[in-house]
Amino acid sequence: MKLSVFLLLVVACAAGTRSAYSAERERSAENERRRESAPLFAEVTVLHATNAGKGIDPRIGEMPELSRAPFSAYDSYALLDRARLPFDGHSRHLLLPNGSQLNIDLRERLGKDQVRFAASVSRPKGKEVLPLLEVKAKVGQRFVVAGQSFKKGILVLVIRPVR
Amino acid sequence: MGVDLDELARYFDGELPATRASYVARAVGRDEAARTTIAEWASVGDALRMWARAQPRLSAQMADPIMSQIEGPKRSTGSKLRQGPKSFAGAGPRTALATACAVAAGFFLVLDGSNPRVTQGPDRLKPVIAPGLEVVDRVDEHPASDRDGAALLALDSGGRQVAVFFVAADRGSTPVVWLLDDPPVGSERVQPL
Repeated sequence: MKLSVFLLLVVACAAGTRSAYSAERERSAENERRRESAPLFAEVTVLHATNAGKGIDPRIGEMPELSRAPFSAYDSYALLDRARLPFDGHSRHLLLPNGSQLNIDLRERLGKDQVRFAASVSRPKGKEVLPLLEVKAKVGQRFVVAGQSFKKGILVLVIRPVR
Repeated sequence: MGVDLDELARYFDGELPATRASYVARAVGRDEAARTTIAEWASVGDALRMWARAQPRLSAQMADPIMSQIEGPKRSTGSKLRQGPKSFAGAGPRTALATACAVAAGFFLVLDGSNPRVTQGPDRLKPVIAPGLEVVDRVDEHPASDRDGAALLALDSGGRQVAVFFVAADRGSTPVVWLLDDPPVGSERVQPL
């Protein structure tokens, strides 16, 4: 009698555990599906590098590249703009402080957190500064376009995919 | 007769005849934008000279390969680049920036007007390795690697001179495309004097 009660308890516990495990797996799979379909954006951070003796704007956040050469040739980095352009199959544009325009265009989504996209920089009247730059990056991985002259310094564009 | 950006660079590099240099010096004294431009070039040159003093052997090894990329025989006829110095003591602004890029990255790739388009399918751009430097990352040996950072797949410089290099980041390395010949725009342009 005692043995049968014990066996019943074991079976019940196993069933409960299995049920909880299944629910957890379903939740995990659902989260994964949501992540895969979640929209991605190109976060564009526009910095102004000068030798104004003002240091690095704290709003820029952690960006170790700025303290390494050749970026360290400038002692001041000011945050001018930060924008999120959706990777949605349409060409997206951001007007830069020097009057030129940054264009971002999704080419392909590679899984849940990686994209292949094109970037270009053009000036008013269609004159191209940088006609094409094609990049593959995962969420959080940065690349930089620097060197456009602007107000006694240069513009530094930091671009990375984000959620 | 005025002073354009190229002549200003030659003045900065000490390449002008004495009479012309004297004229440009007076003109620069009257032009704040020109003075600012020269100050920016000097700051990059200072950083380079500090590095060159610390590592004279490597800097000497790097000069010619880097300049050969910048001043290569296929250079477009419209280019305003000039022959660079053999040492870094008097490095000009473009030399200084290009070299600073190489110092930072361990390698770089310079595209000039004669080679405006580089498109390499799924593979990454192949860098030029500066001899004697510690290579922090070899993009051509890490095709499509996710762990190293973003990957440059294609670049059309449109005839502009750009440097492509990687800078060490918190995780892996960050690709950088640096425009080497972007002139000031609008009111920033150095006006003829």
